[in-house]
Amino acid sequence: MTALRVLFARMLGFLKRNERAVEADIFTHLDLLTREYMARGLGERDAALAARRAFGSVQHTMDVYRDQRGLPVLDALRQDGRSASRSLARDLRFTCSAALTLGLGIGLATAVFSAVDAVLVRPLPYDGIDRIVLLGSTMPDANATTGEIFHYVRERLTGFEQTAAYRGGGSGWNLTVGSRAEYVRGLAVSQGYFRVFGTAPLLGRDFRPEEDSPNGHSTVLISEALWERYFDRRPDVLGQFVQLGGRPYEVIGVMPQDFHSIPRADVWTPLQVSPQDGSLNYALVARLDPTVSLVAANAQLDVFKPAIAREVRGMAKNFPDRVARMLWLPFQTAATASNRFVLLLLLGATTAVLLIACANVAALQLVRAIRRGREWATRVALGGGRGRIANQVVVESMLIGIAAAAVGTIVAWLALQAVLPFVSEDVFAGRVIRLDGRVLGASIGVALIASLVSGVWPALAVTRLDYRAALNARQTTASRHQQWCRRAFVLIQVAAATLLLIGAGLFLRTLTTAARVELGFDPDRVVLAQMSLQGMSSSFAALYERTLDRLSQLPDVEGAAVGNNVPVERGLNLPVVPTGRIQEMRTVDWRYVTPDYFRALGIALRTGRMFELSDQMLTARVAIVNEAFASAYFGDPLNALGQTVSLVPALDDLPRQIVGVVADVRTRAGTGWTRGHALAAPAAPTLYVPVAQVPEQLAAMAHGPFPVNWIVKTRSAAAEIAALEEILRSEMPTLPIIRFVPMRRVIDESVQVQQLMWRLFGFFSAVALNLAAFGIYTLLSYSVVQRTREIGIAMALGATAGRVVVTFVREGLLLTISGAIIGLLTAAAGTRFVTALIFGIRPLDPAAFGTAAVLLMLVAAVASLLPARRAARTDPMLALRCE
Amino acid sequence: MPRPPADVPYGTLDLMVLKTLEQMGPLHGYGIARRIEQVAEGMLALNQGTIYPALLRLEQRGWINSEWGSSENNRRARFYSIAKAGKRQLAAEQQSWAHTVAMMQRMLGDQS
Repeated sequence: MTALRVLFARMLGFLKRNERAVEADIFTHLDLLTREYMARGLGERDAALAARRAFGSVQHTMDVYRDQRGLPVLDALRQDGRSASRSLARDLRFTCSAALTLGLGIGLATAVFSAVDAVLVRPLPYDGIDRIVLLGSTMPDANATTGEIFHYVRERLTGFEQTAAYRGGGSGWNLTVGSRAEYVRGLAVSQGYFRVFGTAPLLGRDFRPEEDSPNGHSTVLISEALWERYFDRRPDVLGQFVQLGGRPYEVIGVMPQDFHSIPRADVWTPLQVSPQDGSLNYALVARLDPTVSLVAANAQLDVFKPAIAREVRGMAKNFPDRVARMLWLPFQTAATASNRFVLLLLLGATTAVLLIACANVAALQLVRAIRRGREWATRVALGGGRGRIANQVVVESMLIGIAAAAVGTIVAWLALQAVLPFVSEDVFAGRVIRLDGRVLGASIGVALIASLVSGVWPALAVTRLDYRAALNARQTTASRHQQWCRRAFVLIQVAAATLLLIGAGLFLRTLTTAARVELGFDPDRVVLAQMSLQGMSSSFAALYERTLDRLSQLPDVEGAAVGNNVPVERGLNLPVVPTGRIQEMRTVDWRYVTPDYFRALGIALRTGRMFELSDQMLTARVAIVNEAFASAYFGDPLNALGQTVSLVPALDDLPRQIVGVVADVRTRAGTGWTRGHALAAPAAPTLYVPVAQVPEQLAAMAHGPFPVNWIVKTRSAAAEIAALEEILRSEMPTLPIIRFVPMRRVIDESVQVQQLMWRLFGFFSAVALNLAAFGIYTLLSYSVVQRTREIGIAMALGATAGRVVVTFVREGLLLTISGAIIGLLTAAAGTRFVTALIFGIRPLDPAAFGTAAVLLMLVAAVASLLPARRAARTDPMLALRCE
Repeated sequence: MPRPPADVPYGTLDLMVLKTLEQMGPLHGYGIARRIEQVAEGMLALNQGTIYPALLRLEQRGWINSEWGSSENNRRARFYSIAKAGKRQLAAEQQSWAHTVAMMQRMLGDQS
């Protein structure tokens, strides 16, 4: 008890620090004593002396009192802190560069670690997330499954509390409530989906099995936000009808605000997948029984695989290799997979920057320690404890660490704002990326340790030296040891800089390749208006005609067209055969277009003709194909003309005669085609049909998943969006326009991840290159200073200035080469992390690797040349005379 | 022949201060020192300055209280008084001293 009380009192004393009080006491005391002695007959001066004698040393009393009063350890620290900050303020350039360098490293690392934590590490906010699994594949990007598989798993496999499926991608809906309309995100989910994710409607109920079977009643669950917006949270929303894509759906429930599905949605409709559905359009999820482990579930799946291969015919026939590869994955892993590579790559890059920053600060501290070596040696020689010196260095390092932490926090915040827009919001499911306290704490810890180790260790190394030698300043021999350490630091920096440069190079090359890609169309001065026509299966051709008529009368419009899909974006994937050659079925990219589509987009006609206004429902059915289509089916574009092709199954479409062949355009491949980036993948065979000849069933299919695009080619760069909007709104008052977007931006959006990576890696590698150059420069500068004598002797013996320059530049370059080799090898070993993000070049792109190496060499040469020239200017006489 | 004054035995100053305050009521540092010297009658070489750390120590332990007042020479000085806990402590220490002294006397009895 007493001990606690004393500690408390001491802490108060430490904080309050009023020494005046005891001083007043002591002077009163001395005065009283003096009077007493004077009363005994002493003179005033003698009395004062006697009083002092009787009192003892005032200074000593104060010292003891002070020690007793506060916390002496902290007092010493406070003192060290004060002298450390004075010393840091004196060496402002060192302090700033150390704090900024370290702060930059910490900040970037913190931002990226926070993002990684939020996306990959922190559990998704679903109750029992560790029991939620998704039927995936050992092959990446192949998690899609079929309706057949879903029904098979639901009926035969055990060990699940609940199984469910949902449509792989979310889709947009035109939601109409009364007279108000809005474009919302929808997700088709099977009955039981919400139970898998451990949630339930806030109001109402889940889908009934009969509602979830093919041709079941159209029902919908809406989000709490929509409930609020359109129904003022009235409970009588249940049983009311809303329009989705022009069809009525009965509202049966409201999902709570804190439930976010992946993909995100505002409305959930029943999946109604048929047990015969063999298309790979679904994701299969399940909630494991609490007693069943993931391993057990996979073991069971393995047992069932032969049966699945036998009994699930569509799957076995169309995708035979998929069954063997099936695998239950934790939902968390599967859902975040798409962002994994980006984040891990960023993590690697920031770690490299942090490493460089630490090495740089260590080198700076070492240089500083050497410079202060004499001062310290003097202090040691005069009896100052090495511990005391170490103490001061510790405090200095801590101060730098703290400053770096402050800089780092700001940098981290800024960096997060920069990165956030590029991480798909889908994966958060309501989680937010924030500057994570733990992560920031860990980074600051790293900074402090890095700063400490790099500060204290050289201090000890320097003071361990024989101080007499240090005083004699025979530094030529004294610091060989440190020379080696600094070389190691430079090596690390060069290697890490090489890695970052290669990364930057790979992304830059990807982007320049993408920019040079032959698009096959002209995106300049083209604006798109995107709008969903869900539920509209007839009369849309007339609508297009009306709007296009009005649009083409605008003075600034050069051409106007409509296409259900535009270049770069994918179209519908439909199986097509040349009439009578059923065994040659392929899935092609199917699009409908108005006659001016090719002209507005500048797509070249290779042979035959374009569509005409005269191509109508009642005239002969025609089609235009691209070159890829023509050569895939007929070997040569010219052979394609006059051939007929038909859909399989035909739906309500009729065989069409090919009347023209157009150039290939860059397009994102959908499922069924070699996956790849829109700007890199080989063109998919594409079938264009005139919009006037699109039958209802096909139109409904085309209008379901994707919005349609009005394509306007303007004469000047400034697009007439206002006029365009007015025309579209007046023709379709109830349909919301999703967005207006320049065609250029659609292309840019397809490479935005690469853009981000290039910017980040570019920035990181610029920082790294500078730091490495600085490292080489300081290393050689000190080397020159230390070897002044040696240089002097060499020059006195006849060495030319050129010879001296070569010696030092060679040292710098040798170091750079070694570091660069380490970096190149590491990069070559790590390319698998980037292959998912680069395209159009090989991962071991010689240009990227070569440029990185050359750039480093150049920078290293310049960084070495400056100190080397200084060395060459050494006056031998002066050099020999100086100590 | 009077003996030369002895140093203050370690740990006894606190006790002396407590006893003084108990007997005399509130005193400032000078008063306490004077009183101790009076009682010791020249047997003790007290560095009066050491009183202050001792007073601080006792106060930190909650055995004495202090308040500002004005001394005989009209200067500011702190006046110390014994606290309840201090009285208890004093009683306990007195007892343990008596015990120690008695024991030491028995041990050293035949030499004095």
